[in-house]
Amino acid sequence: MWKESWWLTKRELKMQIPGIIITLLVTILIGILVVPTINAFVLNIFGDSASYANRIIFDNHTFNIDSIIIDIIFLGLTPSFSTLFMWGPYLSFRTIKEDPFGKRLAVYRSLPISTNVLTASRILVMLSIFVLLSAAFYLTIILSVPAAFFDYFSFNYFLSFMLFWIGYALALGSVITYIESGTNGKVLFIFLFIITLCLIIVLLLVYQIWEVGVVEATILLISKSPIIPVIASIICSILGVITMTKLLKKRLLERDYL
Amino acid sequence: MNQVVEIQSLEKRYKNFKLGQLDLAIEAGTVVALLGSNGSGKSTLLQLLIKLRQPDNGNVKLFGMNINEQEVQVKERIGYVGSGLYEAFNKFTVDGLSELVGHWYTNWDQAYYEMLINRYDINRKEKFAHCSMGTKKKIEFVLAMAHHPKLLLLDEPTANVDLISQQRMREDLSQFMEDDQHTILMATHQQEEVKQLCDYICLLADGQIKDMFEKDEVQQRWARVWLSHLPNQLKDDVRVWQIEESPTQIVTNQLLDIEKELKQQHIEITHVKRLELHEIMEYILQS
Repeated sequence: MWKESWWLTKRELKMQIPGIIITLLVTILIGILVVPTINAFVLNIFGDSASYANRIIFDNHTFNIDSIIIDIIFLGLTPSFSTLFMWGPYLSFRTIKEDPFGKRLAVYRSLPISTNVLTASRILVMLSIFVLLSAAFYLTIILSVPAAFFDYFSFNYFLSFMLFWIGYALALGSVITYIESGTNGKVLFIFLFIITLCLIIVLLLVYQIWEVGVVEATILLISKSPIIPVIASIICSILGVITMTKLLKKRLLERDYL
Repeated sequence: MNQVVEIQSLEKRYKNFKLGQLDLAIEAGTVVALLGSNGSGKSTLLQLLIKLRQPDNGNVKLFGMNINEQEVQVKERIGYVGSGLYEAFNKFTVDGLSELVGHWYTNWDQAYYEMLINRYDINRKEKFAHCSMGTKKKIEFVLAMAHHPKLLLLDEPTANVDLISQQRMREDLSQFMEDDQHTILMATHQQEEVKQLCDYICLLADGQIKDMFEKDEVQQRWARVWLSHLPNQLKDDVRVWQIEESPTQIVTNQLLDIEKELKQQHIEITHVKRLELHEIMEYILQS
């Protein structure tokens, strides 16, 4: 089964090489944009400087713009590493009407391909893209931060920080894969809209209650407890992928493709 | 009887349309035409058979197997031509598509595929997106044939196709049917296809099977008959579908019986004309 799934995965990745390249470049760019802020966070928490670049004071509350942007990237964007978020269906509202993911699956469903093979291929496509984009994102950060960064926040801590966020991103990213293949273009866009809305609400609540950014809080958490949050996050991601695989297989048997 | 397709109480509901409940059985070695107006449910029925849509109720058995339980084995034996199915892979070349499709069939015949590609004058290096509507349909047809299926499910296979290729498709389908284990179920609007290929006609209207009959037999039974005068008992006869005056004429679906009865009553039949298929369809659908 895995051999056939991998064959299909390779075909599909090959078909999307331009999309992979564009999404990869955008991911590297985002990684570069993230570096100054992460560096500032680490210096601010573990060093002696208090160096936030941009802030807004509104209604006696201070909002660090750097913090908001980086939180949006980690909370909202890293789960998108499971898809080619800068390619085709994600950039066009025609997806709502035309459902390109469903149409592609319709071809596979007209062929003698078992739902086990088809489901496994969806998961393999997701994991391949996720590994590639996550590796690009975090390697960009590792290679771009100043050498002094690891003096304050050791490489092992950074590894824990990275695995924590990878676990989160994979857990949520597997939901996106389910929505892509298990529903239609309309639901995909509604889901992305709801997720964005939830993200904004969560961020506003966090800033209102704790007055600290989520990524900043993660750096603090990892510096105090570098193992348990990572294990919890990785377990969540594994459970997420397994659950979504089962749900997706069931859904592929039940859904209409045209 | 060797039934290739067995449909029982099949039903599919949409907001503004309901297909079924349908019961249908198709024997091996026959060609069945699905006829009906646009939106009558022909494509939906074919998509339900290949599991591109899931029924709300009912069962489908193909080759005696439940497609839900033995999906891969069943689909190995089916060739399906859908409407614009491969549009999702329009960046693939024709050969690229054949690799994608052929990989999944143990029976894939590359030599036969190449023969068909040449026969239909298809450029193998052309991207699917750049092909004309007719060429896309020909590619779908070739991909459906190249693994030597036992059952062909064809959704308007010759739509937009040039006349020469249409004729070649009909020849290929006739050749396909030379083996009495092969079966075709096709949705079509082409009378020529029905005339040349089909044994049975299944008439769909508003998601229901209105009638199913043998093509040759129905053409023998339906006729327009011109009479010297109209006897009273024919005015309310269920076998008479239409009556017209000056000149007096009737349309019947029981020509032989009516002819016999009229002769007994010494009513002269001045002329008899067999109806064309589309005319018969029209009468049945209007009923």
